[in-house]
Amino acid sequence: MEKSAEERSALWFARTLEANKQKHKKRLQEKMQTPDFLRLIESLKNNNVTAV
Amino acid sequence: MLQPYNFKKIDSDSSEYAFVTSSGMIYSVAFVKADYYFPKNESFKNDTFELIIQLDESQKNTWAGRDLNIPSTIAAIFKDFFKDHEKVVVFSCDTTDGKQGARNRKFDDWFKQFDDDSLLKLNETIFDIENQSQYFMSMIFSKENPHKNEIVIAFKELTKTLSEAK
Repeated sequence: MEKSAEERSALWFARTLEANKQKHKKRLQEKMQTPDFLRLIESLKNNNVTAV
Repeated sequence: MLQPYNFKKIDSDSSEYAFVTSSGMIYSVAFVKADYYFPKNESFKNDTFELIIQLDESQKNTWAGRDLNIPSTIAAIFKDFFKDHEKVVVFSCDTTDGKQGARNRKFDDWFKQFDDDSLLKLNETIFDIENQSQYFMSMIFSKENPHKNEIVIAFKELTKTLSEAK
């Protein structure tokens, strides 16, 4: 059955949100492997220890 | 007692945060600008962001126990992000492994548990018959948002078209 323009629009919203999420997750994961990010994590680990 | 983990912005000029748990789990929480969802709503379209919560891929299958400091930290990050009351977040639970329903319940529980009455969360479930999938979508914004009413109307318009289509 042909979908209405409104239904396509609502589905577009949900599908775009999901597709973008996967794209951003991939980009974030790549960033999480960079030396700058790993240095940031090391400093956060030290802060967590200090907080305890 | 629940204590948020320390968190930092990944880049000083971005809306991306990172934290690490006591068991070494590494998380990123990103708010990514998304001005294309509500093109007709000039008042808030440029303040709309997608929310991404990413656990390091290499730790996906690691069970670290039930750590309530994680949602407490995400709540603290939300608080920092929503210092600007005009920001609006759209969010959907990851569907890649079909466990979006469980994720939605978990996120909802976290939100209720750490709700300090400063944010509003609107929810909708979208059925995608063609792709045989189900999306759990939320919109989160500050109760102090000056465009609150317009945001609620825009969300209702969206969900209204869904109800009509069901």
